[in-house]
Amino acid sequence: MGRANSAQLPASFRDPSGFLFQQDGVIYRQVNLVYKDNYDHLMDSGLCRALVDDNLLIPHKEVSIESPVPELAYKVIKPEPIPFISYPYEWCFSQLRDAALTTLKVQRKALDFGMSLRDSSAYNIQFKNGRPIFIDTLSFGKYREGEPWVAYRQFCQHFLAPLALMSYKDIRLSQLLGIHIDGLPLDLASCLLPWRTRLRFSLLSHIHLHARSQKHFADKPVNVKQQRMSRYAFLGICNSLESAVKKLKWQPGGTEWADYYQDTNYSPQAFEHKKAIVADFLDRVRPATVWDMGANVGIFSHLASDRGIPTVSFDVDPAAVEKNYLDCVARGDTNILPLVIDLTNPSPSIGWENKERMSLKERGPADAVLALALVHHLAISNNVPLSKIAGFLSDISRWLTIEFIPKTDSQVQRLLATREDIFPDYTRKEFEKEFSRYFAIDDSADIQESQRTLFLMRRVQR
Amino acid sequence: MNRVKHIGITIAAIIFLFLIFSQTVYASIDIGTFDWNSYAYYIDAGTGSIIIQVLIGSFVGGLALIGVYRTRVKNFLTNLFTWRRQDKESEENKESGESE
Repeated sequence: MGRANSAQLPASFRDPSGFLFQQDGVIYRQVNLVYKDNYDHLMDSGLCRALVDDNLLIPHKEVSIESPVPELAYKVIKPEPIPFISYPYEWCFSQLRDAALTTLKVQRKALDFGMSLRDSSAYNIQFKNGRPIFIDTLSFGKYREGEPWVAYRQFCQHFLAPLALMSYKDIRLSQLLGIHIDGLPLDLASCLLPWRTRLRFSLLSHIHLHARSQKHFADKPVNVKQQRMSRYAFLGICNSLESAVKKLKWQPGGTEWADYYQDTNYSPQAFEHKKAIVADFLDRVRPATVWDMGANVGIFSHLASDRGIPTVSFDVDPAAVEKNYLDCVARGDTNILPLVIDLTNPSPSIGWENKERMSLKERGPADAVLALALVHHLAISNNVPLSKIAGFLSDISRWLTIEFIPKTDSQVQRLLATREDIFPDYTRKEFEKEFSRYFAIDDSADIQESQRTLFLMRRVQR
Repeated sequence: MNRVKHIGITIAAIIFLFLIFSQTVYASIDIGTFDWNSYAYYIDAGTGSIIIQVLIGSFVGGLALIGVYRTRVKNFLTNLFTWRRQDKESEENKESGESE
C-alpha cells in the first residue's frame, strides 16, 4: 500500500471502485476489481462512446502500466488531461447551472444504456475547452428497475440549493460551497431561501420538503433498502430537477449587460494602445498558459485566447465573470476559463487533511500572468504592501505583464477620495524597487494619453 | 352492427388503459424488496432523501404518465369519432347514389 499512497492523488479516496494516481507527471485512474462489472458494462454497452461523442464525458485510453496497488487492480486508464482544475465555489452562476445540466444529461444518457450515476458531486465536473464535462469515469453503476436515484440528495445539495440561493437570495452565497464540501445542507438552504420559493413546486419539493424529510427521518429506523421507484418516477425526478435548474436565472440587479463595466478613465486611443502593448508582450513571451488576474469581463484575456493560449480569467466580481463566461459561450471561445477569485483571499486548500481541493497557488505557476489595473486595488483599497504583491505574483508566474497606475490617475484618486492617504510608498520608483527583488524588468511602455505604464517582467531565481 | 363494434373497442381501450395506469402508478409507490448492493453505492443516499424522492417521483412520474395517456386517449377518441363520421358519410353517399 505504501507505493500507492506515494502516488495516489489526495482528491480521490472515497470511492472504493478506484482512484487517481500520478506517475511521471501524468494522471492515471486505477479501476479496481470490485468495479469490473460496471466498467465492462460502461464500455461494452456503448455508453462511454456515446457520452464521449457528445462531449459529456472525458475520453480515456486503457494503458498497460504498473498499478500502484496491483492486488486491487482490474485496469488502469489514462484520461485526457484537464488544463486547469477549477472548483464549484469558483464558478459563476451560469457555470454552476451548466454543470448541473451536464450532470443531468449524463444521467439521462446513462439510463438509456441501463446505467445510472452513483454520485452527482459538482466536483465530477470540470471545464474543458470552455464547456463543462464529466470527469469521473467510475461514477456509473448498473441501473436496476425499481431503485431510486442514490445521488439525488447530492444533486440537490451540490447544484440545486446553491443555484436557488444565488438566484433568489444573493449571488455571493456560492461561497458556501467552499465551506460545505459535500454541498449545502438543505435545512440551511431552506431557511435562507425566501418564503416565495415555497410557491414553486420544484423548490418546494426538492429543497423545502426534502429538508423536512431529512430532519424527520434522521433518527427513525426506516428500511430504505425496501423503497422502490418505477422507471417513470425515476425519469420524472430527472425531468423535474432539469426543469427546476433551467428556470433559475440570475442577472445583476437593474444592470444592463451591454453597459456593464464601461467604467474606464482612458480614451479609446489609450485603450487600443494598451491592447497593442499587451499583445506585443504576449507575442514576445509566447506563454503556454496565461492567468489574467483581475480580468474584469475578460477583454485582455481575449488577446491571449486569440493566440490559442489557454487562459484563466479571474475576477472578484461574480457579475463580471458571468458576463465573461456568457460572452465566451456565445463567441465559441474555447481557450478562456472565467473564474470568481478574490485575490485578497484566494481559494485555500480544503477538504480532508487540507488536501482534497487545491489552493490557487498549488495550481500554478502560470507561464504568464496579466495584472492590469490591479495593483492600485490591492495596494490602496486592501492595504497590501507592494513587496507582498510582488512576492505573491512571483509565486504564481514565470512572466508578468503588470500595469502601474500612479496616484495622480483619476481612478486612484477615486479610491483615495474616501480614505486617508497612508501610502507614501505607492510610487513608481518604489514599485520598480520592490518588484525587482523577484523579477527582472525586461521592458516597459507608457500608455499613450494616460499616466499609466506597462511592464514586462521575468521571474528571477531566488 | 358498427355501433356495437365501436362500443366494444371503446370498452376494451378503457380497460386496457386502466390496467396500464394502475400497474405503473402502483409500481411507482410500491414498497417492494429492492436489494441494494452494499459497495455499489458508496455515498450515503440519506433515508429522508430516498423517501421524499420516491414520493416526488410518484407524483411527477404520474403526472407525466397522465400527460402521455391524455394525448393518447384524446387521439384515440378523435380518431374514433372521425371514423364514425366517415362511416356515416360514406353510408349516406351510398344511399344517395342508389336513389339516383
